[in-house]
Amino acid sequence: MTRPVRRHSVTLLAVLAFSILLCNELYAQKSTRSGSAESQTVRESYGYSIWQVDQGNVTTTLQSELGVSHGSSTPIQMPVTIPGPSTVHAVHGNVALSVWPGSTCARSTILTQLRDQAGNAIVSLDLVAFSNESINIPVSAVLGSAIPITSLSLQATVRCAAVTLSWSIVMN
Amino acid sequence: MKLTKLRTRILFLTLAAVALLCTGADAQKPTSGSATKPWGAYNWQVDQGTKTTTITAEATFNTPPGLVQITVPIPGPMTVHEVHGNCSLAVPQGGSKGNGSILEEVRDQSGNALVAVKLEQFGPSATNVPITGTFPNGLPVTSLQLQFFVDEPGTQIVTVSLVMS
Repeated sequence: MTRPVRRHSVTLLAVLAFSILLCNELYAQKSTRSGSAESQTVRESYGYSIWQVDQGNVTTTLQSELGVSHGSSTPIQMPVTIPGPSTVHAVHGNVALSVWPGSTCARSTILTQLRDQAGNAIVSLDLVAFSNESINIPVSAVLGSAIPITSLSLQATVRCAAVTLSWSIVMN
Repeated sequence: MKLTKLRTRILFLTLAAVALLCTGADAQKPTSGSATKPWGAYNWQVDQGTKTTTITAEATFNTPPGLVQITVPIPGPMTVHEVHGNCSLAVPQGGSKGNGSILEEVRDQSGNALVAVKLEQFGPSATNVPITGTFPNGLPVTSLQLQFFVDEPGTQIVTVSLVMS
């Protein structure tokens, strides 16, 4: 009697272990990569810039802030490194623009773009705000064909000062 | 013969029990939390149906704490293909400085951001940003994290309301 019961218990244990493994496989997320890259606040001739990129196993998140105290017609280029290569199918987030009181223009027009290493624009916005005004613009897009990215670049043409331009974008 | 029949029944019952355990994630069991902190207060709630998971949260900052991370357990695991909802920032009348600037993120257990916004607000007013996002490959989620970065002085109230499916 003891042998069949023991064999029976072993079978039960094996079935349970297999089932638990199956459940875990169904629900556990698979981590393939993660990491962060960031710049310190960089003082520039136009003002300052700072950015951070956080990467999980699925999404890449870019946060950046650009402070412009001296406007110019020359585009500002902010190179952004990412922890690892990724493929972008969709983006969402927001871009915020604040035009500080006493701006050099009553109305500020800012062209800003997020591009990949090959110059493909992932997001492009032409923002308009009055002095002493802040605007928050949502961004949401599914790309027609996926874009493989190895690095990013933020560009902005800011003719009036002082402004603060912030990006917050999730890419996956 | 009897032993074989008994073993088959037990195996069947065991598999049925495990299947029930696995599908139990679909049940509606809301989770919620709140706390008062030296910098202000927060509260959150997560409701899960058979198809969607909804998170609503509010945080009030009276003094700038810098980085704040709040772990949000969810009723059961899910795979997120799409999110929609909104985030808002309000600067009440009579604030010590009157401007708002908050970075807000909703992340999963492994640091993937489901939503990331940077909200800016001049003067006592409110701003609302709609959120729409897709995850074509799906994002398996077992828990969430609310993350805020606040370095602007003065009272600011931030909210998030998201449907994930």
